[in-house]
Amino acid sequence: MKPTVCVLVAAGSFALLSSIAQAQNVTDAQIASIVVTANQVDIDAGKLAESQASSPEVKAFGKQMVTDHTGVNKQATELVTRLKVKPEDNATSKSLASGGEDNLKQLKQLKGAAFDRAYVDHEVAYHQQVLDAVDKTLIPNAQNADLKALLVKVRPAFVAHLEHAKHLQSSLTK
Amino acid sequence: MASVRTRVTLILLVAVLGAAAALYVVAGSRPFAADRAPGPVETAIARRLVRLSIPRSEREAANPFARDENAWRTATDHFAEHCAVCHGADGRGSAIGSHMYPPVPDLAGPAIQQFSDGALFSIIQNGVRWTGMPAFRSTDDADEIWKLVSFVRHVSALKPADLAHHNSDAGGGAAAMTVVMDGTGFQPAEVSVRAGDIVEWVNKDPFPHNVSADAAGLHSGDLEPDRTWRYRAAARGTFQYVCTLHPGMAGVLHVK
Repeated sequence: MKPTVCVLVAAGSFALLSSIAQAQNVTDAQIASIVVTANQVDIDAGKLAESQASSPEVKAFGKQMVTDHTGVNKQATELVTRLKVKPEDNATSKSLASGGEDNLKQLKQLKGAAFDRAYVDHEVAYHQQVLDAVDKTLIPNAQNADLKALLVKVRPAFVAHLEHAKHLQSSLTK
Repeated sequence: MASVRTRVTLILLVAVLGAAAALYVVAGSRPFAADRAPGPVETAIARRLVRLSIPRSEREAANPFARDENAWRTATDHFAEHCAVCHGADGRGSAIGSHMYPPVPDLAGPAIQQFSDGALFSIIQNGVRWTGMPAFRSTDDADEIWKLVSFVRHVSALKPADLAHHNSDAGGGAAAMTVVMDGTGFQPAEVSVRAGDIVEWVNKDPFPHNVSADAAGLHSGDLEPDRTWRYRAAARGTFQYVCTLHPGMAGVLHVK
């Protein structure tokens, strides 16, 4: 990865991390928005990887991210519709969305192996950050039992994604 | 010299006999049997009529899932339940479909693939009169039908693994053990059955999982949400299996 891109990705990651850490007291409506946005950001990056990645493994990973996070979002949307919770934008969801857009902008400039590495690096950092948010902010603050249960249910998939991404990361740097 | 009436009668008789002979030639000795293939002229006319019966606006409608590479997957279960009895699980035909009149077409063949997405949608939605194709308008919403159109477009590229859970050779009978795939884990993670028992895996997560163990020959293929895969445990032993999509998701099957 180019040093400048590396710095930008790192800077974006820290900005994201701090904004999530700040969001201590969130309502269910805000959690709903964070969940849907977090999934959507990864779906968008996955779609780009499906078309732009050069390694078949990275392509397949991108495709799976689209499938898995779309599935999670479908279930989350069904739940909030049933609970009549209206997702409410907040600092964290906005920061996730703008971080996602910045990431897409960076990735779109890259090709071949450079794209693969930048995408996978970001996936590792992103899943780590989302897991931190799930553990420190979303699960502890979720009021509705069903919403909390959904977060607990999908958490292991994010762990698996992180492991998968780390595995790809180590195979790409060889 | 024959009277005018006799002559007319003779001409009519010849005409009726000619028509009967023509029908015999076209339809064979059993004109209402279903398992005779229609002739090329009848086939060509019928196909043209089907195409002409679909309004241009419907023919030109675009599939909203055309760019969604996974749309066809979500229609696989639907296809297996409603369509496979005549079209075959892989869309290439079934024993029942091939003995219908007209015979059920190979969905991968040119006769079907030449239709536009919009035309295929219209055919699934409205059915085709005088064939076995029913209308699905009342049972399936538009999205489901469009995904079936995506499935029809994908038929020629289907792999056995795509349909693995529909071709399970476990047969009927109650499962001795059910393993639930939930929270990206197998629950229970370790199960014990006797040789010959049926084990079933049910996916309760909102995304696909699979059951895979090369050593044991366990290959469920990717199971969409709410799908069940049945497996008859044959060989004795202890088998470690995983979901290849989610590292860390593992289980153990003991066959005694």
